[in-house]
Amino acid sequence: MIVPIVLALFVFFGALGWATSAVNRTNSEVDMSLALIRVADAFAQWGVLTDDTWKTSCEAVTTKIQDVGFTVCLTSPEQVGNVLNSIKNDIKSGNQICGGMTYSCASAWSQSHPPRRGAPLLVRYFPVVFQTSTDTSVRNDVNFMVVVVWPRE
Amino acid sequence: MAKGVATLMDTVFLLLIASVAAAILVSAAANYGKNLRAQAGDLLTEYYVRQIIRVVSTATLNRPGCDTPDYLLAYLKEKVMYNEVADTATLKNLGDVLEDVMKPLGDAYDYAFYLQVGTGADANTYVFMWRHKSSGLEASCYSTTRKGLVQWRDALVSEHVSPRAYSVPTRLRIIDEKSGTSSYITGYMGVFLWPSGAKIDTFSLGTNKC
Repeated sequence: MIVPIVLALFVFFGALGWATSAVNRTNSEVDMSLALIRVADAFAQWGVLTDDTWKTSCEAVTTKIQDVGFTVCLTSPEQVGNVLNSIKNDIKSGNQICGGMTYSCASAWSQSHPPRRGAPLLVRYFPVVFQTSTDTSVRNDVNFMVVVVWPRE
Repeated sequence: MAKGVATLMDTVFLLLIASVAAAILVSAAANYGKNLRAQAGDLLTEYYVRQIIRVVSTATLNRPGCDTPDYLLAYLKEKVMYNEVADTATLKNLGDVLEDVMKPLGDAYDYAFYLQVGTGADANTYVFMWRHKSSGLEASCYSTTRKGLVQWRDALVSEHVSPRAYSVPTRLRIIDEKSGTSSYITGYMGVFLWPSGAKIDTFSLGTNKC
């Protein structure tokens, strides 16, 4: 008689545990998607990125966005694939994401807590225009902003 | 004996109730946030398409014989003013920028950019399209009306390719050929992105001008 009762409890609490983790996983995915848009838009809102607007946006997002870990880096259209591969390797080796890149931005928490292997991770890239200027001309070239977001556990 | 059977039945019912409750829980959790998750994914794709328009609005290009780069949008507006939009030069200059924007997506998506001069159903609309074929990326341009563009978009939707689209209003200057006077009108520029390989009927757009 004890066996069916234990079985019933096991079935019920097992399903409850699975359902709770499934709901939390979905919530986390949606939170990360929205956080990713917030991070990306902090940089893209200018229309044209420059050294100054990059720094200003980086300061703003590292202060405001504390609920997820994130890293943003800027690269050329040709290098997007290589950057995505290096991100994969950085996570495997536990290094800081986009560590050696000229334009990269991450909060203090994100730098000290890189995503662990197997952690849920959202990676997206978006086209942006980056301005380079000389004494005589201003060029706006197509670049890509690679945004990586992971949950704060 | 009867008490034993009753107890056994109670435990069987308990097991049954627990199983039904577990099944309901699992089913509810599996369906929880399905739409929300899909919408969050769509939001990210739409943001990419929105960025394409931002890039076209702000990117620069090198005009032949000119030392300093000029804005692509200024170039397009100038083409509209002189009524020379649907030509090979526009297709190439616009295509160079869009090719950079689409590079990381590889040959997964076909895309089109349009410039609509005016707001009515008969407003002149210029469509530039890039499709991946076995021979490579095929570029074409069309001169149509807003009505023709809407018909083409409907054909795209009926192919079940779920195109992503985004457009913004823009101010355009046009010159009246008869009187030679110029005036400003509202137009739209927009972009369509859809999975490559779909058989898209371009009949409503007219013939390829480029």
